[in-house]
Formats: sequence, structure tokens, C-alpha cells
Amino acid sequence: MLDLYDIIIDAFNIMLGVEEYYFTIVITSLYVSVTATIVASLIFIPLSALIVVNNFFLKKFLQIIINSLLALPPVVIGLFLYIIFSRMGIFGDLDLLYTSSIMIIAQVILIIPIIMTLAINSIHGIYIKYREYLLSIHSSQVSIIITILWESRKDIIVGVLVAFGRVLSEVGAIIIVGGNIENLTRTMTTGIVLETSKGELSIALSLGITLLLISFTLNILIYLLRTNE
Amino acid sequence: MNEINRKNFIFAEKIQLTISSKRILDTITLKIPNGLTVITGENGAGKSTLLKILGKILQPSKGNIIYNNQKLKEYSSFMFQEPIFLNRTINDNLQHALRCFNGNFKTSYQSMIVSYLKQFNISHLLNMYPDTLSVGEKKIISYIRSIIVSPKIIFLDEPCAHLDMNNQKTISNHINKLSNSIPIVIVAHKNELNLYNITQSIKIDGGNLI
Repeated sequence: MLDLYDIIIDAFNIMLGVEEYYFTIVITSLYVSVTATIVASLIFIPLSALIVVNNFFLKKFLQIIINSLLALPPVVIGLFLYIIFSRMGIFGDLDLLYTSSIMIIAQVILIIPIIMTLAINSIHGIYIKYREYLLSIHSSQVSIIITILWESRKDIIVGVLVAFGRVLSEVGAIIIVGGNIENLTRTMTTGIVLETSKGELSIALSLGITLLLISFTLNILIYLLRTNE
Repeated sequence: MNEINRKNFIFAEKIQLTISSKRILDTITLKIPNGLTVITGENGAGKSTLLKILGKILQPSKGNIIYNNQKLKEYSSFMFQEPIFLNRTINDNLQHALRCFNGNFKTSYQSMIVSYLKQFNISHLLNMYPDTLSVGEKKIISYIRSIIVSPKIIFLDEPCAHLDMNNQKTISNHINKLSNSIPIVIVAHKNELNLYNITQSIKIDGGNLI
């Protein structure tokens, strides 16, 4: 049995040697998480701005719902998607279960409330600040949205980075819908779960350290963006 | 409706504004003719609020604002008491205002902006950020932004406040000259009234005309 020192040395050897198994897992993780973050951001950040600048029936109720969804357990999202995308489900014919596409869908659903809550909070402050000015120059709704999105871009980017960190470290939903299949749907988090259970602590630790390094880099970026204001 | 005609550009009819059950403006009826209309009154009297309602920045709780020409409504401009700027250079702020106002986002208004800044002797501020400017400089830029869009009517909230004597003269002379061609409504304090060629003076106190 390896001692702790050997496990750590092995873990760094795996990382520095960029073993194929390790490399595939990291790339799959990044592909799924980056795609999910981009898709969710492109759709739900403009939607957040649209919610902020418009007054409509049940607006406050919608915001309460979005806030409440922050507490939605990822395994419940995974279970729900598993049911509707399995053979018996309404989207069973799409044959998406155990693919990276369904993992992306799960992660998009997971970060919608994070992206929208953070975006709405930052856009709302900017909109209050500039609302009268934008009215005074007869801005169209599109130009109001573009202006407030641009003016709140730093806070929005911070929100996107937070959401990316959240999906990168997620395990509950993607292990259910992705199935943790080698070279296909195995990510850093699901890989850690599997390798730890198999006793392959070196590879699990190498994935864990990589995850921590990415998380650390994200936090540095968030810090730099916030202190740069 | 009969009150609105070629001589009166805006007719405000029984304007009321109530915020959180507090009456800010109380049944105000007035006409804005061509030339320079000045709204005066003590601090907190409701001058700026009335100006914002006339300029369609605020909606009254009751009453109507009738413009004699749809273009007046669509091409009005407003200068706020506390200048509001985007976190961009002065050039970009003015470009943004012009592009939004004209609904044309491809045009560059660089030469127009440079010429206006030159006219007010502040060309050196072109690429500076608003945060780095003095209150007076912000006021002048804010005034330029309200006139550079070639509006059909202008609403100015204390345009000469916080300015030194020279700049007060420059801005007020410009306002006086401009009021010969388009209607201008300004909020001003008593001690600034001698700066302007006033066509109509409105005094407001406690949300009422007096």
C-alpha cells in the first residue's frame, strides 16, 4: 500500500506527465462546464436585463422563484432529467442520456438561478443609476439594455466566473445523467468519486489538485475584477 | 386642449405627484411658451420634480402633459442637476448620447463633439473620464450633452449652479441665445435670475404655483 507521500508524488507525476486518462477527463470537464456557462450566459444575462427594465405582472414573484431555485439540489435536477430523457421519458427518443450534451443541459439548468440572481442584482443597481439619463436621451429599450449590460460588465463577469466555478465542481446531476463513462462523460468530479472508491488515490488526488488550481485561478480573476473598480 | 396652440408649446393640466402618500406637486396647471421659462422656488419646493414631469422623465400621479407637436416630445433633451455620466470618456459619453438620441449607432460624431468642446474651451477634456473632472467641468459637459443633440426643446436643471462667474456667463449667454429659436425651461435660484432673458417666470412653493 502506498503511503501519503507516494500518493502525492504520483499525483503530480500524473499531472506533469499529462497522462491520457487524466487529460481526457480534464478536457471533458472543461468542455462541458465552459459550454454550459457560455450557453447559460448568452441566454439568461440578456433575459435578466429584460426583466430589470420592464415592469410586468408577477415580476417580484418571478424574482422570488429565481432566488428560491438557488437552493435546488443538483441531484434533483439530475433525477428529473434522467426521468424525462430515459427511454420511458418524453424526450427519450433524442437518445441524449449518457452524453456530454445532457450534462451540459443539466449544468445550464443548475446555473440559471446563479447567473440570473447575480446579473439581476448588478444590472438593477446600474439601471437605477442611469434610468433617468437613458430616458432623457430617448434610448430605445434595446439600447438601454446594451448600455446597462456594458456598464455592469465587471459584476456580470464576476457572476459568470462564480457560475463556472459552481458547474466545474458539480457532481450530483452529471453523474446521474452522464453515467461517468470513461473517455466520454467522465469529469474531474465524477472521476474523483470513482477513483477514490476504487482506491486509486493518486489519480483522484491529481484531479482534485487540478480542480483546486482552476478554482484558485477563478478566485484570483474575481478578486482582480472587484479590486479594479 | 384649447390652451395648447402655436404660442404655447407645452400645456400641463392639473398635474399632481404623490409619492408614498406625500403630495409632492399639488394640481399644477401651466403653459410653456416659446422663449425662456424659469422655474424658481426654495429648496425642496418641487422645482426639479416639476421639470422632470414636463420633460417626461417622471410620470405624474394625475393630470396631463400636452405637447403641441409630437416632435417636441421625441426630440426633447434634459440636463440633470447632478450630472449623470456613463463610466466612459467624455468623447464616448457624448457619442453615446448622440447615437441614442438619433437612433443611429454607426455614425461617428467626432468632429461635432470636438467643435462643441472647443466652443466652450474644454477641448482638453475629450478623452478624460467623468470621475476625474471638477463639478463645474461636469456641469459644462452635461450642458453640452443637452444641446449637442439639436433638441426641439430643452429642460435644464440649475445649469449655472456650481460654476464660476465666467462659465456662468458663457452658459447663460448660450441659453439666452438658444431660447430665441427653441423653447427652454430651466430651474434656477433667485440669485441667478439676472443671468437670463426671461420670457416667463414660474414660482413654486410646497408643490404649488404661487
